[in-house]
Amino acid sequence: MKKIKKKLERATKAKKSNWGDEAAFRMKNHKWLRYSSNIARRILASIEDRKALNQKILAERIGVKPQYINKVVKGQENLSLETIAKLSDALGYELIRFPVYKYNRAIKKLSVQVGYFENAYISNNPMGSGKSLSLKHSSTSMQSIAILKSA
Amino acid sequence: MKFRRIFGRSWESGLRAVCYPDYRLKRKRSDAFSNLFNLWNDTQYLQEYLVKNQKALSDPRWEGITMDELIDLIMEEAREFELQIENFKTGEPGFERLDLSDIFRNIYKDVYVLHVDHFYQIREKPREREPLLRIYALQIKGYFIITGGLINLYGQPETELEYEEKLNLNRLYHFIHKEYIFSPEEINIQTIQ
Repeated sequence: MKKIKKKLERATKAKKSNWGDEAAFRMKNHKWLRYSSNIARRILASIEDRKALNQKILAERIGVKPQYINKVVKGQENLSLETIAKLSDALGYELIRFPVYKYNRAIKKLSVQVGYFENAYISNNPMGSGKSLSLKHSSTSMQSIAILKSA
Repeated sequence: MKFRRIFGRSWESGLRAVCYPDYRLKRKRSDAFSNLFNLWNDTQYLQEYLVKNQKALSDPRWEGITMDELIDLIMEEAREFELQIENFKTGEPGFERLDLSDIFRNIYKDVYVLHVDHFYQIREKPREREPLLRIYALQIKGYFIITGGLINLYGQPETELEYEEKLNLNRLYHFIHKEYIFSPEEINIQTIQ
């Protein structure tokens, strides 16, 4: 019995599972793998919705081998922006959308309180960089002006 | 029968997996453990699996959840699973004095699932729901031999896939007996229904 145990132990020791390396890869690349999966889900749903489309046709449309599309839909490919753009065109569906950021928010009508300027005059800039506007400020009278209008 | 070593060098403690051809994988892969994580990270497989099992998604526990969110949940659970095994393997703080029976929970008969509660305790984060992922294994002393696993959407293992999993467990069980490697008392398993 000891002999069999040893035999089995030797056999199982001989080969290490691939899991360790695969898990390390997944942990290290977790974030982009999740992006890739999200793109894959949309490609799969897009293909599902179109009767005239399958992975092979999609591959032909973007000029790659069907095996590549097969890998893409598993959500484990590090896709280039070029590939994403080609896939989007071929599917007629934008695979990535960009989040709203401060410069693509609609410009709001701003109401700003400014001081009433009693006197304003233009003087020559002593540093020689052109004319500058000098304002003499009076704090007693304030008025509200709209400086921008919403587009 | 072939095995692969996940970690641990002796039969006293460690994790191993059998090398069965997985009925769900088109390509030949290495072992049951590696196969499972490849499946649980395969977007196409997950989407197809959920579409095929839409009936299970009508269960009240999935109310208000989208298929897309479920894919995320499965992937996240697989990630936590891997992280926990890795922490155990390397003896990270909180894991150094544990043995595998602390992180694998015997939910019934021969079915073991990762005991993620411990993992959550360490992270001081309460667990919100029962695990979705199940790992099937035989326990021999401090040793676990993985034969397979599945995504448990139903709460009860009554799916078609379950049959294949039981078959794999049976194969290992009979192999061990046939070869007289371990006595039945050493194997923590009951007869599979």
